[in-house]
Amino acid sequence: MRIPWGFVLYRVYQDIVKEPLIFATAVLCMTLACVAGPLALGSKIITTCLIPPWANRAVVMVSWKVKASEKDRHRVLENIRSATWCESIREVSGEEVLKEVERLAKSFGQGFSLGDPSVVPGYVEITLSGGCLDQPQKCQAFVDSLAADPAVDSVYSGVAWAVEARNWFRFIRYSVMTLTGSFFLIMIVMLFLLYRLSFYRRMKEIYLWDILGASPFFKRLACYIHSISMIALAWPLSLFLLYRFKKYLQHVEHFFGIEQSSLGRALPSYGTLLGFSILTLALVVFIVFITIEWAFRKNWVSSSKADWIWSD
Amino acid sequence: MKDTIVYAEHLYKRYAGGDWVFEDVNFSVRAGDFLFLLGSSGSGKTTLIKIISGQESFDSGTVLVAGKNLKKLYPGKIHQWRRHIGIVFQDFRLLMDLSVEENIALPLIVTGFSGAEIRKRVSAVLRLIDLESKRKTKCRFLSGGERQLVAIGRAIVHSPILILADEPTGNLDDDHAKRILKLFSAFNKRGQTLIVATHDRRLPMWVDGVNIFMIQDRAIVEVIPVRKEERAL
Repeated sequence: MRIPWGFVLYRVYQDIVKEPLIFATAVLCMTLACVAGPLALGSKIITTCLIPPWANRAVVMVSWKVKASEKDRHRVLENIRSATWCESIREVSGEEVLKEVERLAKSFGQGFSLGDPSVVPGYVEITLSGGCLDQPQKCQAFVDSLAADPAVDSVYSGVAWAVEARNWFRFIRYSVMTLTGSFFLIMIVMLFLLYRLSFYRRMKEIYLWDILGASPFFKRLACYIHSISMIALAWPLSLFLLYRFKKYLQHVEHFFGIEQSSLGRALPSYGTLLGFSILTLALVVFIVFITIEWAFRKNWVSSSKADWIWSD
Repeated sequence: MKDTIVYAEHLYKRYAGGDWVFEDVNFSVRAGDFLFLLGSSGSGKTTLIKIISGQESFDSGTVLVAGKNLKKLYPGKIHQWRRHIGIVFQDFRLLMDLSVEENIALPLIVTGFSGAEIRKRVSAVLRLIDLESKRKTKCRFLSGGERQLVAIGRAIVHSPILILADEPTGNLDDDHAKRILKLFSAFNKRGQTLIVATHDRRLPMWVDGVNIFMIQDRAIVEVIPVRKEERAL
């Protein structure tokens, strides 16, 4: 059958011009859904790269006994180095200790003390990797075993604090995932309601097509074109917003202490974001077309409703 | 059965949760008939028009329209049947933001007629209903009588085999009602089959050569019209 494209496009245009606010709101909802979708899909990567290094490491400080011999210290250090979690070791001795203790006391407050600096000959700062935080109990047991060594005077363990910090960042990650996912769903529901509103507005027209013998495809055609025009506006707009979002994150100089360069590297690439966006778009298109089909099958527009729709 | 446009046998219909509208209804309409369906409000006139036009299904029985069993057309092919009928409503059911000619052209547009054919047919219909001077006027600016003429134009533009009119004069004064009936009568004289549903018992008296069916107590009975002059004798 010959499709009168000109007439259908004219009707869609008239529909948009008559109620521009409904159309604009629908485009906005679709845009936000197309932004929230990729962010929800990429939230794991985005939030992982936003977790600062200090929240992924634990610092343990071991101070030596005054009487600890060089041989004992060497033994303990070898023991630490052999541990798989050990990322780096920094030995501090002599006058450097006094400066470090002074600096650390400022950072950690009055709770931090390595005893009387005049009798502390030195200490080791051990940085434990994220693997340690995955098994905090084993990690703490390792730290405790260090404290039990006769050459060690005291141990400051930052494991518990690091686990706490990491849990907080994990909570933020899941919150971001949940929020963006929920936002996506809310936008889809809004879109569904706007479609319903749009169907009620079109009811007279669709009813007439029905009465005049239009094919099922023709009856749906204006809705399809209307949706396609919304998608044509919303998707590029969402891509632009995603691009700006990534640009913004790349230009943040410090984010929880992360250097700009590392943040830019760790963020999902444009290709990945585009992939997520295409995936979201496919989902939105599927939902929109299912809604249209559902509206016709569920008789949102039916002859039984026609009597009251013409009453105005 | 030959020349029978509408044939109903043992027709039963009731709305969900309601009483029966029709019980064992039988009737037939021949090609070229001008039929009036009379009945009070709520008697089932509109329901019968909807059944014949394929807008409403029925519970049991057989309804053949132009030899086609409507029950078998549901739901996939019913739209093809609707292309062969023209419907006129009491409330016109026009798209008020479209012009007279656009409204008349709608059945041709939705069924895929070519632009040239649409222009030719619409011009012919505009001449017939005498609305050529208002072809570009939006329907919202027309009077009730003119709107009904446009609705009639829309009902005949695709040369239907049957015209159904549901209370076509319900919103019009007597002068306009007579004009509409005169137009219907002219179509009928050219061989067009018409079924007009109305509660106004005067209407059949204004036209010659009509058949009358009365819907009463969930059944249809044929009545013989008595003209004024016959009554006077």
